[in-house]
Amino acid sequence: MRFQRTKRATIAALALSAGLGIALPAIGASTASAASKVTLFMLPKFTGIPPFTQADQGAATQSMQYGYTLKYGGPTTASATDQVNFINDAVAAGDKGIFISADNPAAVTPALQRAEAHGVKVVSFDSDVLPAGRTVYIQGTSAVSIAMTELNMLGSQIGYSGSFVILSAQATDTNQVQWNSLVKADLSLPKYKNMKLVTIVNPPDDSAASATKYMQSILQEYPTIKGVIAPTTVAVAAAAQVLQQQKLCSKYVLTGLGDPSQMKTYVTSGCVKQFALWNFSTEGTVAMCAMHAVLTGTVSGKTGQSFTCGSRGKFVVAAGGVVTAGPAEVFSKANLQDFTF
Amino acid sequence: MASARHLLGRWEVGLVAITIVIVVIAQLDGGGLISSYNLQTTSLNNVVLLCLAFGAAPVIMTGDIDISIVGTLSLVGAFTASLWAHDGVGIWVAAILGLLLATICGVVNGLLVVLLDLPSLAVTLGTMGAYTGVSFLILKGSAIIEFPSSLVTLGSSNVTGTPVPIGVVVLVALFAVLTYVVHGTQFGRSLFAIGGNRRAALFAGIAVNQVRITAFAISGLFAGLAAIFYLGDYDTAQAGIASDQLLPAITAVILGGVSAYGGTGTIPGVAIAGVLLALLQAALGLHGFSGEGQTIAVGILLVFAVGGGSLIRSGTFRRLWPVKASRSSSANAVIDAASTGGG
Repeated sequence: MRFQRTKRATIAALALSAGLGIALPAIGASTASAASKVTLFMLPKFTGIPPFTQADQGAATQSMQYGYTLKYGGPTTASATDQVNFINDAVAAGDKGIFISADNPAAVTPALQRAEAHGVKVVSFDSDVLPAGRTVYIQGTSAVSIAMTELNMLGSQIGYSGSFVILSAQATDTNQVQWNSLVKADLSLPKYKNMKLVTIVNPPDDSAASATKYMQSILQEYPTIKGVIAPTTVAVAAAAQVLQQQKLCSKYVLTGLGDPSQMKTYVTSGCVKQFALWNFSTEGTVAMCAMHAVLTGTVSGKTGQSFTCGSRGKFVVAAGGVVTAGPAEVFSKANLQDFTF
Repeated sequence: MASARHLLGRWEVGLVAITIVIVVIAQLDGGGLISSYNLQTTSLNNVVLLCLAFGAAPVIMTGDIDISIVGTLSLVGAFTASLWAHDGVGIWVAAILGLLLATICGVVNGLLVVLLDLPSLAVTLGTMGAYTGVSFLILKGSAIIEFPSSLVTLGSSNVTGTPVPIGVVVLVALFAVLTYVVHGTQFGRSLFAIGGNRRAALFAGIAVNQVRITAFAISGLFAGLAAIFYLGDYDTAQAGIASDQLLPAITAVILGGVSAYGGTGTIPGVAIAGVLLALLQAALGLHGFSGEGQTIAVGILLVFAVGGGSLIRSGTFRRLWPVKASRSSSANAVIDAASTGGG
């Protein structure tokens, strides 16, 4: 009896795992047919959000020019351990290059170094890893461009005169701190001399609920301001909703860094005239050009090296192996429908 | 209970069979799974997970649960790193103090559960938040990186002259010790007795409270060891790190045949389940499956294995479907396979 049950169990287990396994050859076939081609792997922080899909499309289009096959995949949630799984799998599958947007810069770096020791080239984009773990880092746009664009979007709508508040993210967010301090520095320029930053508000977390609450208290506390700059996709959308609900869209100018799909409603209704973000598709394209330059030995990460990227022209590697993909992209009613992310 | 038949029971045989099938199919379709690089990196990246799973198993065997293990991992990682980086303590002294703290975290869980007679899920849900919170207070959102080479060697290098990672060797040693403790000692027998029927265990003269607290202490200690492995492998300490490893670790324990109701299961079963899950993930990843595809595959495996076993144990299946069992049908065969996990 015991023997029989054991045998049944084994057969059943075989049946179950065969069921799981049948799908393997079917899906694997597409990669096998391109065995002669160089394959590259793009690893976002996590899948299922539009910006990374856009970066993938930008990179994939450019990869056709070079004859590379680009694969795309990643964890479903933010997890450094899962990202390391994908790094390991890409190397074991024989991919020659990895694009990565790091969930945790330091934690994925040892795995990337192992990949590099195995002959795989690494280009980081969107969110950098430690310099030891990649050859170059492609940033969507520069902090300088972001700060200047924010001030121009607000200034052009308030006649470059009046006070404003920055509704930021957590005080520990390094990007936010850098952008906001550049805004402060830019205010000393003659063009912005009549604009006055009242305060920078840092909600305790990055939730829409907190941003909503802090936007409401800003309007109560500083009713005489002309506008608000919200340099986070969460805060700018939450703030727009507050203005729209309280019917204050005509009284205050809101601008900042936003996600086009989230902001569509408010731009269509006219509540928000302009907001900005970098172009993820361009970021992906430039990352692919950089990868090609790294694979062909043109770029090794040294400051001052350069590579070309089709019609986009020449890109130069700045200090620290950083390459800037382009200026910030300003969105308004006129161009919003061109962007699907 | 410590007989060879118990250790290599039918459940484990089924897991090994599934593992072999996965390996064979993956190898037939392009290979790469059983390459030295893939085995090294895959095993390294699962040391933390398996360490957590090993530690959590004894607690689950007693019918309790400890979900604070990732909180303990985060706290011990932050504490050890901070002692080394900010207080000038040697890394190995800091690590030992970290393991001490980990054990204390476990004992605190056990005391709260046993003395206040609270459900372990509620207690460890609370302490998970508390332990993680303290790690944020210690590191304040910053990361500590570039640990001494001795720790990084433990976490990520191979045994000299072999392709075997040191971390894996240490993990196997921990596995051997834990297997002996759980399956070869009176303490181990007490775990199963308490998980089977706590009241009966008490009447049988087992020191139920001490055993339950000790199980939590083991859970804490292993979470601490996982933290040390984490620092060595990822060369990073940050608050809240590895919080995503809780569910995979519990998955390995349950898939390994440890009943969520307590009273059954084996440490080797947990180990095999860990290897199975790691190889399944690697095989799917190698063949270009997305993260979503991998999550779904693991979910299906778990539901079939554990859900089926639970149905048959409770007799629900036969009540729902009182057809004369046609033993040849594949559905029945799968359920039967799962049912053998009763131990």
